[in-house]
Amino acid sequence: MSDERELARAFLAGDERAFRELYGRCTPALYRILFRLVAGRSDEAADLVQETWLRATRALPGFRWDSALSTWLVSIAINCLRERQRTTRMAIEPAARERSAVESHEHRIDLEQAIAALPDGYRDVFVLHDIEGYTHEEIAQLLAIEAGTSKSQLSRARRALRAALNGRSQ
Amino acid sequence: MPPPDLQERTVAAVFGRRTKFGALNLTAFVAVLAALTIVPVVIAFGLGRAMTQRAPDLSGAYLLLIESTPGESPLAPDAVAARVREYAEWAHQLREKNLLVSAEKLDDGEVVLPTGSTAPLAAGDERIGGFFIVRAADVGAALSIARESPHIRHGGRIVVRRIASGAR
Repeated sequence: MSDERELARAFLAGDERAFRELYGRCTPALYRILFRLVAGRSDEAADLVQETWLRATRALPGFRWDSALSTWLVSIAINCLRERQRTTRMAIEPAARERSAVESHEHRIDLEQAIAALPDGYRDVFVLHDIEGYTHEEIAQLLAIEAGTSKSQLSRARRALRAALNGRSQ
Repeated sequence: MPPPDLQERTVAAVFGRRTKFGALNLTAFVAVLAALTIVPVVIAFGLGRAMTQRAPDLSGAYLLLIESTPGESPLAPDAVAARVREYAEWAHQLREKNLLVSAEKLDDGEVVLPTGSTAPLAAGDERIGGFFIVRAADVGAALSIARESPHIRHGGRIVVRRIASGAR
């Protein structure tokens, strides 16, 4: 595992195979996180993965290796996502999400749909903590929030999910 | 699972290559050309086999599901090659004893949810890395086969399930 540094060094020297190796190691988890953070929109998750790698490879010479490469990539991915949400967020989106949740009640809500229907902040914390296993301290760093905020958002996210899933069973 | 073309798109973007028609990636072009040529042949071959061969009789056979080793770090390419050779050798020995019906390594995949939408494999799903179908007189014999697998030596788990007779 420690040879990620070696691979990074080789990539910076122009070795494409080294980049492909790093890509292969880190991308499945990165994509999985992004897929959930963008509520299952696979095209968007793929675009964000590409954007993340582009930025990461440009910033790699300055990476201090004081965290795992995968954690660093997730932080870049979340920045990309935030920027995209800031610039492209449409007023219709929250309404559409609420509508989707209501429609799901009429048919069927599974956990994936319930997660997708969470507000962005709640979903980010829930996905990173309960699904991907990051600690509140790590999430605080990744999302640039306080660890306490991460905890309270997680608790609200779980409450919202419970309510959504209870709604299904009634 | 990331889309299959994402790696090439990302590599092209990172290395400043264009992948559109103006600067066609020769490797990709050859791969597509080869695929277009090979696919009909493979389909025809598969159809031919299906029409002329009966599926193997699986009554009394056992499915050995190979689960990855918990907590094992990804192996270096050399170690992967050595591991593959070990498993291939074991499969060869089973085949020599006429115990092996089939063996395949599983690649990436996705999960179809009850809603019909798809999701990436969850951690538990990803653990299943391949399977062997073996012939054994009883579950004890099947378990013995599993115990001799190199997978057990490397700390992995093998789930042994009898294939129900009369399932076909």
